[in-house]
Amino acid sequence: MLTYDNNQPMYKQVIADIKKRIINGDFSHNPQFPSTRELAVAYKINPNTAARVYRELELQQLCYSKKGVGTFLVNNEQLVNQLKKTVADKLLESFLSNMSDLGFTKNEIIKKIEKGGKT
Amino acid sequence: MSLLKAEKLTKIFQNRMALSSINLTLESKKVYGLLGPNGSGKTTLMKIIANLMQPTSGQLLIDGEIPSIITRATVAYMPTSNFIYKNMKLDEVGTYFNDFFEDFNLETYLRLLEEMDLPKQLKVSALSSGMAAKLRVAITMSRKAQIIMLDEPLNGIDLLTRDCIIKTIVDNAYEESTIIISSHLVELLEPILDEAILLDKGKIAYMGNVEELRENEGISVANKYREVFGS
Repeated sequence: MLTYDNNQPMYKQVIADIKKRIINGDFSHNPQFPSTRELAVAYKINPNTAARVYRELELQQLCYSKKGVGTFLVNNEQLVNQLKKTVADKLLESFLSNMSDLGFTKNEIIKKIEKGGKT
Repeated sequence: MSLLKAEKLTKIFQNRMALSSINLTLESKKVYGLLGPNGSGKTTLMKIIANLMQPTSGQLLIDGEIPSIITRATVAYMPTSNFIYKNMKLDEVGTYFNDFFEDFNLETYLRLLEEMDLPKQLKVSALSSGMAAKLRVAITMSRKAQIIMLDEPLNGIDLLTRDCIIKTIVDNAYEESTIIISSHLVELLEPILDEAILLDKGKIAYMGNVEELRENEGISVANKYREVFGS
């Protein structure tokens, strides 16, 4: 279950989680997303927030909705790979900037990673 | 679309100002959190909306109408205390409310009893306080009312029961209903809210969309609450 940071918009946190699930192939066999109501219950969020999640994902062209049927993941492997790259790049960027704030050089960071995070 | 409108709504008990000239507009199909410490006026406001109490001055309109026996048919209110006859079995409670309210859905009620692990053959007098809290929510959420008000639904019950109640509220919010939930357990409630209303000594100290608050100010409703009421 997702633990929320209540200081951040709820819809963004749910979107980030759904993107992870898309990358992990959770929807590769069944591209249909849960209904708005089901999403709200599963994530314990307000139904209007759940609807916003799908609106945003649609704007980002990751899903589309068929009226009266539901919301579906786009059938586009390239886009999913691109998504994986974007999310990974963002994580790396934030990691590197935090480490650099602590005074680590690039080489020190690489060494640290090779040692499995232990000093 | 605005559903409920309060203008200079005031309630005075002897010398105590429970509500002090409140202006408020609520839209339909949204979930509102009515938040504030004890004695801030939450229950008083709900009781006026439910037509269980008259304002001292000012006005409240529901869909353009002054609260009355007519608006009561479309407003569901769950008070903090038990309001059910102790000798009834839970399935009889359903029949009772089904006779009373036209918008009560007996099927929904029986489904909710099952989902909340409340045996329908049990008598009300045999319920623990957590079970009684769940029953109150089940009764109230079984009405397809225009306005559903839950007064402190999370008070004095264990964590799992609270989770169950939150899930029931989200799962059963009838699409056409406006829901008003009062609580001082802000952290638990805030993920399911659209709008937060902070009441302080009978006045509105803050009102706003919770996602906008997080996006624009970068703070949670709980932190806003601390900011407003903080020591």
